[in-house]
Amino acid sequence: MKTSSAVADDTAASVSGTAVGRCFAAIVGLGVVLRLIAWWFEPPLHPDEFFQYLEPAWMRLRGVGIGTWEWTDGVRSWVLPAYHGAWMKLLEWLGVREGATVGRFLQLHWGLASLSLIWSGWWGGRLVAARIAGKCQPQRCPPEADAAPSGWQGGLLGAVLCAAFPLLVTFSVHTLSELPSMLAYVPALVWTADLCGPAPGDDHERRWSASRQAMLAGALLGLSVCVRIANAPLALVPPLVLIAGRQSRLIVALTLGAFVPVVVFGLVDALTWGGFSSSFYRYVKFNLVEDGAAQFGISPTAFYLERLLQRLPIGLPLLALLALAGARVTWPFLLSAVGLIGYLSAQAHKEERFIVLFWPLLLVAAAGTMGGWLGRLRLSSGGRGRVAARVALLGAVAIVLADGSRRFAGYDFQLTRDRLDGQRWVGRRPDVTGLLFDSPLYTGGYLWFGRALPQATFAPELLENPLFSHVLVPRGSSEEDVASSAGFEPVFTAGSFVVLRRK
Amino acid sequence: MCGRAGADRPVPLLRGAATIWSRSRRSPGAALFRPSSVARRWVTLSGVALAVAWTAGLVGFVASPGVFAVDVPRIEQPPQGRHNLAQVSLGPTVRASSFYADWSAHHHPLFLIDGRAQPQALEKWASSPRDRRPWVEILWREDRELDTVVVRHAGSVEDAGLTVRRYQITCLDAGGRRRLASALRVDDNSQTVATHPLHCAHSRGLRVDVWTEANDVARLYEIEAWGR
Repeated sequence: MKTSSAVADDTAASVSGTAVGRCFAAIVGLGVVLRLIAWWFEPPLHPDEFFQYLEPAWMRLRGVGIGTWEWTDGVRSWVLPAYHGAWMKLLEWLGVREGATVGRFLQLHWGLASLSLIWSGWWGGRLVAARIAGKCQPQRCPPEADAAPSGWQGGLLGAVLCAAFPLLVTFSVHTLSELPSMLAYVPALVWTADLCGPAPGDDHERRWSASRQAMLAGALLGLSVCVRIANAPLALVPPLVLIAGRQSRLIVALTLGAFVPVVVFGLVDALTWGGFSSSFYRYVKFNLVEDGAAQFGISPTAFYLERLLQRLPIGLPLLALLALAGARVTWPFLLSAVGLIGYLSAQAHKEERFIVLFWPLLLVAAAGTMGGWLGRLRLSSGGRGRVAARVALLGAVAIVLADGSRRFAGYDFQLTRDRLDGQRWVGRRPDVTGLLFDSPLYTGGYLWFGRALPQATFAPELLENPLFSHVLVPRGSSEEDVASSAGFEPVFTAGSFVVLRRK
Repeated sequence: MCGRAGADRPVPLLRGAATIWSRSRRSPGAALFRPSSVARRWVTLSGVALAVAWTAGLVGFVASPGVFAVDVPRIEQPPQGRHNLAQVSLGPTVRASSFYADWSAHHHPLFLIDGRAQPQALEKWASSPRDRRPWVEILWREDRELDTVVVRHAGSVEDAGLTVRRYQITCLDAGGRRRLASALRVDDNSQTVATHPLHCAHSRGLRVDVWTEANDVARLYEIEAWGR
């Protein structure tokens, strides 16, 4: 019977740990490049990325901003805006005061922060692959010297999918709560799953080591739920994983860890809204008790399934089949992914960004299964069959990435960048005293304007107000004609938008 | 043979993070990333420095007064004779404790100085509902001799009941220092357009403090500061 280190030695015969490490580094490099491209080209996705998490911070800092109803009614926590606000203040001290530049920095910041998902993909993929291949699971059985770690095939596939899957890449630069929630939930689940299996060391060491890991996983889990309350039902999965893995005693440590962010968010609510966790209660009351989100649109129950299939018509069935084939090991990921779609489908208001967490969970599960099979092939198959199987599995990865790259644009909202470019251009004019635009909803608020001067929705009577020196409207629109008649002249064109200035 | 975990004693979360970090470093897959001690020190120091800087930023953010302030660009030079010192074209600075920043209608403080004779309901300054002691300051660029302040209340455009009843007008010196001795207190105003004689030599601005009723906001359409 092979020991785990002997298994690792088998793989080390042809692949060294250094080679795997180089591959991983290359994948991280690929992830960085793709995120930089997304940061440069990706247009804003949703008004919420300005008005929910950036504009409140800007308003708190500069005394000017647009306040949405959520911030009037206390439905949102101040933690995420405060996180952004700290960066804004730091940049202000460094001399970066222009709002659009600050906004771009924060988008880049989240793009780079999303690189942590590559690590989660690596870790999760290895974990699944090692278990499917029947090897000692990663981290608990490090092989000797420079041998490749067990499950490395799954790790690399998980990493590359998380690094390059187009939807994850493009979504990574949006300042929405779904992103940090996703970045916290995936490692929390991976680390919890990692706890279920044989561990090294004596009983005492093992117990404390596992408790510490469970606490950290719990802290991430709590953070994931607090940042995005809609993901709260997913908090049930990690405890289930521990129960199924006969590690129930770790649920206490997991819960203790989860309490840390819960208490922090609760206290911030007490300081800002006047009641412990009051934003949480108001959120639940509005969305679940009163079904208030329905006023923003109702979609059919199958909306998410349809959207997922539209995104990845070939890749999704492929990923699902792969993940299901390894369900014995991948079930925590599958349960989270399917559970997310299931309970969000039961809610009336649906937006595709709500389910972005579905993708890394499915990708890790599928990558791990493929990695596990590749690991088995190394031990059992003959030369030609092994090559064919490798080609087939790597082809599946290529299909998923290619399929995903065909339809990575066109979310429910897709703001045009032209309007934002025009708004920023006006904000940089030294003679501007006010701006009229066609819609406040699709702008970048006062943050993007960068000036504390008035902005208002276009109305012919407001053209008479001397404060409004500039107008930003679609080219060829009736608003442009009205503004021209009122004595404004075109001074700048941003794609399909035109900026007019008072003569 | 499985590797041995460290025999650390429990210290909750930070130790947990350290455990996971050390485990990941023991992983041969991460062998490529095993940095030299110098590089490790630099990475650690950079991380600590970033965390300290971000924490300082957080403190600065929380401590920020969040007061609205804007310097309006000067479009024209001030005339010689008596004129409205607060008019927008002269490039005053406007500061305010808050403003009503609703999604569809934000009642910006600069509407106070736009000089509109027949404004729309949008074109007024309204304070935030959470602001219990709203105030607004208008500062001009040179020393001026102020003689009269005209306040156009909400009642001049909307319902008369929206007119502010209690407020105080104070002259400001350079740097925005208040001349409390010159303060003019109005306790039971009912005029929709109120004209207040207020003589301040070498003034640099004026401040209006408003006492609002419970759950109400301050609403002012225009402030004119006449002088030479």
